[in-house]
Amino acid sequence: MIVLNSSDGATFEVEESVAVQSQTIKHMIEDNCADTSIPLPNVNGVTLARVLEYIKKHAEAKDDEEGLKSFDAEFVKVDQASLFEIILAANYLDIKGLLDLTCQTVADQIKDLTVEEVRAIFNIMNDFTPEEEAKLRNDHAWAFE
Amino acid sequence: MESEITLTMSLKIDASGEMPVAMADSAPDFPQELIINIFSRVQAKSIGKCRCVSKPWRSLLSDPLFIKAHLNLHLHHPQKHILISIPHSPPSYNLSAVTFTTTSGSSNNDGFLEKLTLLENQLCFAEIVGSCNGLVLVLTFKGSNTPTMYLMNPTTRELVKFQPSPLVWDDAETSYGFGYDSSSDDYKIVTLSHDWLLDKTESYPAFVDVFSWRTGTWRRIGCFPYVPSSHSGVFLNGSIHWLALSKIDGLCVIIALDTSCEQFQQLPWPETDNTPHNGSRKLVVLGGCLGMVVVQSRHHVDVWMMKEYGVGESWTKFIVTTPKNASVWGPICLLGGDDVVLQMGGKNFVVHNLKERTMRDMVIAGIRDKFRRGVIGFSESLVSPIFNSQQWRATLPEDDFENSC
Repeated sequence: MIVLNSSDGATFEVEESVAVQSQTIKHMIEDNCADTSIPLPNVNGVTLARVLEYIKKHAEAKDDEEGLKSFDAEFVKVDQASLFEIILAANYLDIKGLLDLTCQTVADQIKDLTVEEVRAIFNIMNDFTPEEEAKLRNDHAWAFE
Repeated sequence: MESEITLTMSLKIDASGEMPVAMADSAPDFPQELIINIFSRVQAKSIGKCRCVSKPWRSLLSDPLFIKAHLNLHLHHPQKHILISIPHSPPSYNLSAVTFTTTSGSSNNDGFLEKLTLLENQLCFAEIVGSCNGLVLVLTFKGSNTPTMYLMNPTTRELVKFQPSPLVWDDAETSYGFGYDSSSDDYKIVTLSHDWLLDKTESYPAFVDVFSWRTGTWRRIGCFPYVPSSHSGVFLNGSIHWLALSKIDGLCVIIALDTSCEQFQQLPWPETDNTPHNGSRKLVVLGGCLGMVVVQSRHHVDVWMMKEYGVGESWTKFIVTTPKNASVWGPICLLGGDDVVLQMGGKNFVVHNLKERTMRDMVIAGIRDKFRRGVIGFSESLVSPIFNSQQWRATLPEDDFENSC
């Protein structure tokens, strides 16, 4: 069993065979940095718990394609902030399947949004002048058809 | 990449209109590679919109490195877009793009048509030559054998005009090809020219001229020791492929020009192909494989596919036959694993399932008029056909266009 410590001090136990879905953890184990426990200062407890839920499910139900598909679909039904936290964790922990799933989810969200909605979701300030924005939209008329 | 971009997060405003409590105070920043990972998956139109979000976003989403990452992801999607030219008070043509929708959608349509306002009513005898990386090469002939060349991105509607090779004789028979050289990140247009009048003794070979998009110039790279067919080449796996006839025994061959080293090689012919070599044939790319269409009659085509590139034994054939009241022109692209989109003489597309050997008409919203043969599949991409260079500037068609054909 591997012990993982989140940034806010929570402790989690997980089977090594499951944990190595994270390439980051896998390398730490190989480099013998995992004697007592592995500190993960970039991931908080709530997010780490979710990530572990994902990799546990993907380890135990490895061959059940349909089951994993519906699990994944439900898994990403979280609020925006949590989704972003999971993406960052998946990136830091280098878990390809989870990273693909969450990035694709955000990409699918963006697809249907207007410019204003994208700004709202990502909290981006509009730094164009009205003239600049009008010209840019005109140059990209093909995108607004 | 030059600009730094950070993504800060906040909670989405929920349906009740109330702002949730935890706003940006604990918002982490996304590293650039994550932003690229997410946005590479977004379709081109949404990227166009997102460029209008802010200046850093415009910078990042216009950066050539991002465009490349986006292209790499989208090149592997099954080809869902095709370009067709519709006659409009001939001899001019209008270009339209047909997008096939995935069958899991809610609508009953198999696809929809979008009219492109590129070169409206200005294309005379347009020939769609080829496509790669989302760019399409279109030639127009204004009453002479000498074409004007347009390189366009049908997704972003960008367009650039080139002059043909100045080295080609006026009366020469020509065929063309378009491809990409990954070793120098350059697009190349190839002209094969062959002068029948002078070639009574067959001592004049076909010449090969190559245009480099980066330099904006034509070079004659040598001779083509075959008789080229009139069809345009198809680009696949770093080479442009043409059908040609051997001068020695008159047999049909498949010739590939590697766009990087600019060398020709011959590809293996399907061994069990018994059709006479002077029959009507055409190359096509289907599902990432080289395909050869043999037109046996208006109601019967054989389609060969080289399942493993370069391996002669991997040629497999499927046959398409139609009843007497319909005629088939040939396959356009694969949709998913087993569905082939066929262009039927007339004005429709049919999807043919290879496993079940069934055919059904496709319902494409917006198709009303007949369209020409020579449709081409293209990928969605953000690649710009306009190359900014100190030495050479692209001529935009507005500069010197004549309105009459």
